[in-house]
Amino acid sequence: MNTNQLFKRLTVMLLVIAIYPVTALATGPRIKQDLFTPNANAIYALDLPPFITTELTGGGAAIELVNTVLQAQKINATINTLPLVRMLKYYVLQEKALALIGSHIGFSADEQKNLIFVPLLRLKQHYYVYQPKHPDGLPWKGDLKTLANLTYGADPEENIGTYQKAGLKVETGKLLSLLEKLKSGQLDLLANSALAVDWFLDRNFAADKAKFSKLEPAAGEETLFMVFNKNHPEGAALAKQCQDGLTAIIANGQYKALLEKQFGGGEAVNRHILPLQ
Amino acid sequence: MLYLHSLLLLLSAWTAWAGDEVVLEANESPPYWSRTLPGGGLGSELVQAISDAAGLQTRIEFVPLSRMIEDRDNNDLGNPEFYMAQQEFAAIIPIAVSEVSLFYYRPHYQQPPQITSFNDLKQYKIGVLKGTLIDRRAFEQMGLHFESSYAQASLFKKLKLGRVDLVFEIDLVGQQMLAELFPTMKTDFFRQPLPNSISPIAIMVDADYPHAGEIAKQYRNGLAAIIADGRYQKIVEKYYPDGQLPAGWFENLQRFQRLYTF
Repeated sequence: MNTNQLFKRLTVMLLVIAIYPVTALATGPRIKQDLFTPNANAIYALDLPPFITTELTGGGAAIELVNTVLQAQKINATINTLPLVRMLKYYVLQEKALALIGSHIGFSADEQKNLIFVPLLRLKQHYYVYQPKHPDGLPWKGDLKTLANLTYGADPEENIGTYQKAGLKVETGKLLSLLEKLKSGQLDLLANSALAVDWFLDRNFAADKAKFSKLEPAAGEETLFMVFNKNHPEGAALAKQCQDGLTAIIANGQYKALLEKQFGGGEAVNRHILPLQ
Repeated sequence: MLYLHSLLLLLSAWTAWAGDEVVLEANESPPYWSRTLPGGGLGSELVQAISDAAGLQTRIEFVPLSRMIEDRDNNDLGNPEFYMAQQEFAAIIPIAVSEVSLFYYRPHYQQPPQITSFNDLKQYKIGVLKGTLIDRRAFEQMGLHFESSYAQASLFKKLKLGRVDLVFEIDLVGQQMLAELFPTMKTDFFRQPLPNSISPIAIMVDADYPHAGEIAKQYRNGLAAIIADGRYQKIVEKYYPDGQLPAGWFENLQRFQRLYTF
């Protein structure tokens, strides 16, 4: 083989390597655990990295916790992660799925009568600002009224009444969009778990990460729930089994150990996660 | 040079608006979306028929999938699950469905494999496209053995050679790939569609796209019109080797329409 031929082959190989991963994904089947089990107990989880995400092996800390409980209680169920709250609501309310996992689901009072909420993870939340817009931070000491007239970025399903009452303007969006709006100056602040904010900053704003400032004290907390459907034939029974299983793994230390493994040790867990009450 | 570049950018922005043309992006994935197929593939033909019925001008641009996912201001065509985690849409309009099948090569089996769960797959080496396993660790814990390939053609060649025992692939893609690679050996390959694998193929209109709500309404009306007058069925049937829509096609399409308008 002469140099020209070698060069041509190398060029073709590089092109194949560069192009195929992209085109292959395009028509690829999504091979998920529930492909063979149309009648299994379906659980739908809201994409919420790093707690719920198909980007992590194991599906994220919340999914690992649920799978540990399901295994311990010998419950046959598959978990499918979806990006939109309304998709989760559709499956639970219209197709009578067993359960969902997520936060900020925003069920009406009537809908809640048919649901059983099992708290899974309590996350500390902090406000974030973009330093170039607010070089001195914000006068946040725990009273929202000090932030009146600023624009707050909320989750689309978040209860925003408290912010409106305190005189803040509110715009809604998913966390990634809110971070972009924070950077562009359309928002003054947003609230979320530092673990979730760091996830998106590392992946989407690595060069600017240091310009996003976390305010103290904490803004509050957010709870991730397993929400069981009483309209599912086994909903109430499996909710109790899962609650028992969760209590058991908290008591035997598995719960804490799993979080420490996921988030890099006990100190990080104490900093970001509150004990389940 | 900078001036020329800016001028070109301005010009391309202006032409995208001319005549209220809606620009949708797809990536090369035959037989659904393809620059080289007559009519542009199943999805492209449907989009153009829907647009025609709705009185909309639609242009489909082909870009790599990674760019479609990274671009969070564009309108997308394809399986919404690839895009929704990154981007917010004013409307997601399912226009077709796809399903996954398991394929095997009959001459390698004295008895057809009986596969009703992932447990039944433990004894086989399974061919998959790289990047399509959603939870690899869980599958490995089940004791399954996968061999990844970058291209569909490679998967089916390995299947015939016995280097993999079974292949997971989108049913229509697999059928077309086999017809292309082994046109005289159609009956040597068997396919088992998986009931819980059905996914939507959709038009996704970005949340900030001008007149997004009105455009989405027109697409929905256009889709209803071509289903009602039979054009829809004629287009889809053309792409299935036996000329038949898979069973339950319209029920699945309606289910996804309910899901994405809930």
